[in-house]
Amino acid sequence: MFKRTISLRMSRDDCGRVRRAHGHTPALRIAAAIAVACMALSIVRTVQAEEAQSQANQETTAPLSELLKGTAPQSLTDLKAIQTHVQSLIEEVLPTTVAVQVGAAQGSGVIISPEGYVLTAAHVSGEPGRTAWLVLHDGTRVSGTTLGVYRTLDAGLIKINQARRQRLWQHAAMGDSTDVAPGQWCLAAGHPGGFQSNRPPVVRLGRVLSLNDNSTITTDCTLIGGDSGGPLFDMDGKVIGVNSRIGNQLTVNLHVPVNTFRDKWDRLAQSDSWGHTPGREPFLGVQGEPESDDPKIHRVFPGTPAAEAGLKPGDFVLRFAGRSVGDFATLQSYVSDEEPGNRVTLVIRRDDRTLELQLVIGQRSG
Amino acid sequence: MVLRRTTSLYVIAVSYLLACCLLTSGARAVEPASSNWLARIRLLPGENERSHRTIKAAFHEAVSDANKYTVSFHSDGSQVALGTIIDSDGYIVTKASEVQADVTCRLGDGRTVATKLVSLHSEYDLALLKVNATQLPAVRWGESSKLTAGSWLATTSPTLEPTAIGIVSSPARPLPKPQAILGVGLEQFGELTRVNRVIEGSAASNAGLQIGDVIASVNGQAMDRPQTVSATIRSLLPGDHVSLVIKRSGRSLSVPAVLGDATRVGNLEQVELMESLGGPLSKRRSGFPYVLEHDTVLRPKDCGGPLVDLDGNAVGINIARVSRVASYALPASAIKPILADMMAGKFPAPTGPIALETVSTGE
Repeated sequence: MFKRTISLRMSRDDCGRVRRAHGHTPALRIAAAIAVACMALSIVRTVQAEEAQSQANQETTAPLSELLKGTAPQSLTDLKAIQTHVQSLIEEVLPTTVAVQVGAAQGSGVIISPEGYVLTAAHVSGEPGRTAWLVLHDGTRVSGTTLGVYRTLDAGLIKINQARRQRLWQHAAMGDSTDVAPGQWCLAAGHPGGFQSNRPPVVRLGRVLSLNDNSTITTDCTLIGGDSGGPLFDMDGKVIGVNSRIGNQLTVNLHVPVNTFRDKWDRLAQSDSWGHTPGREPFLGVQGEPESDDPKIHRVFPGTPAAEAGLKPGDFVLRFAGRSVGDFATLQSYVSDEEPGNRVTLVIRRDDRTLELQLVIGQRSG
Repeated sequence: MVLRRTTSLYVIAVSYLLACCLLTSGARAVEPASSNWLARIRLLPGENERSHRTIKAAFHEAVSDANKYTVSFHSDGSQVALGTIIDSDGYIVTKASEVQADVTCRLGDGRTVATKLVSLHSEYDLALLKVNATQLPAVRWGESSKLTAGSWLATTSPTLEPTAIGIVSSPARPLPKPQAILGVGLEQFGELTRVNRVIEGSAASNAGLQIGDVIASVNGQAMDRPQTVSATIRSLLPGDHVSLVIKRSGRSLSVPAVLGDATRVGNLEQVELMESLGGPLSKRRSGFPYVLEHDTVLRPKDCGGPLVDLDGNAVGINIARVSRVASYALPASAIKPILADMMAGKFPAPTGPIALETVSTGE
């Protein structure tokens, strides 16, 4: 089922407003928060044997490792054991969380290698080759460059610009998101509402609620604008996800699984940019035969960009935005390279005539 | 696949907006065990959620003293706030902007008693109420300065069941003073100060200011330069009413405006939509001098009561539900001296009938 979610980028207000006398917190506004439709099946397990067990041994303390995996704490002793672990974990990994500003977008990120690679959300870094300003946990401001973005799953990569060679950055390790299981405790960090100079990265403790086809992790670590790109840590302090978007309920906080970054590392590191933000997929409004070896349009849906441009069933698309089209599958792939709103020229063959049509790429909504 | 191994039942996570359509499609996809199973799941936290009753139950020991000095305040039969007994002779502190003058207080022993407002501290949004009762259990303060991020916190209730639980998200810190904004761009035009931009959704646009308007005076004070306007606005607070005199097409107009918050200009609807996703926020949620930020999910009516650590000591008083991700508490170290002053009569309550709701930092 589809659920409405909102991406968590904030943007800086650079209108000509009355300026603050002092203080560095910029006025913030949410950049066109995109309502993103996404698949999110949450999972509820049937009642397990844990509760019976809890009545049986009221005084027993479960091993810490079991508590951290999600066995319900049964006593003050259990809570204190979790607390001590979480406090020291925060001390260890919070310094790897950074504030990120790219153009008007403000978000968060996490340093994951000594050379200064920073994971963030695609909707924070935007596109490759831009200047990113990062604020480290101690307030130091460093510059970086945005690398690749994989928009479909909202994964973005930034590299800190090396002022001096040999500098090694304090970093967190990347975990394995396929090992993540519902119920385990986790910690989200970021700069909710934007960076504030006297506030370190803000932490939220929660539990993993579901994994959705390895495309998102849902937790009850509450997120909001400014958290985007910040890390989701497991209880070993490893990054298992990156904050991405939220739904209406407090239990719908979505994170990009860290394996997305692992699997697409080469393309991200090479500044490739691909995919589309869910809810912003480009489309024409035609139907053809993907298996066929000709670019013939079988159907044109009313009210779509194709219909408005005058495409008709039976047309053959010869060229699309200057590229020649051999078959319908090629046409599909060319469309997916575009962004909604782009203007493209189509050359078509209708009966014995060759025509040129102008078309504005549409946006497929959820 | 983890997903397949551990699940025996798929449930559509219902987002409020889509609840109706999901109810129908969900019923088709999964045969419901009973007609209200979906409603039950929405109301009760799932087994894997942090706020599941099994997790909250582990806090019973921690709150078993603190719940005795926690009270609730009621108006027209509904709870409006929690409160913290700070003196056994019936002195109770709470969040001022949530309580009306005529609230009743429900004590831990079940008695409902009338209240009398004795002191008001508007900067901290605290009200000190007196009830006619003695030998009440009084608060046991803890060391808020020792709290680090990740420390467990329980928001108590008058019963053994905590209202909610959470952790310290960020150690106690001073909040920047709220900054008022009118929401205009200004330029010097000869001897005049002229509007060259009006930010959509700002105080200025709400008041009907237009590009080209000349700002002649603010609150009766003549405005000769853009800098004078900025300085005047900066000296005020968000929510303050200002009276502008502007000149438009040769006419002089008097324009009232309510100043906005500089951290919230721009697309306010979007900001507020996102911040309030997940539940209502406190009406007064900014302007506190010093706060402890925690991730406990509170409702506005859950503020005013004690926030305790695992040793059952009150490390603060919940003062606001701030956003989807944060609640603020006033740390014990910061409010103990304030409460002493309030007890000593340094901040007497205004005389005559008063609705505390109308109190704001701007006045």
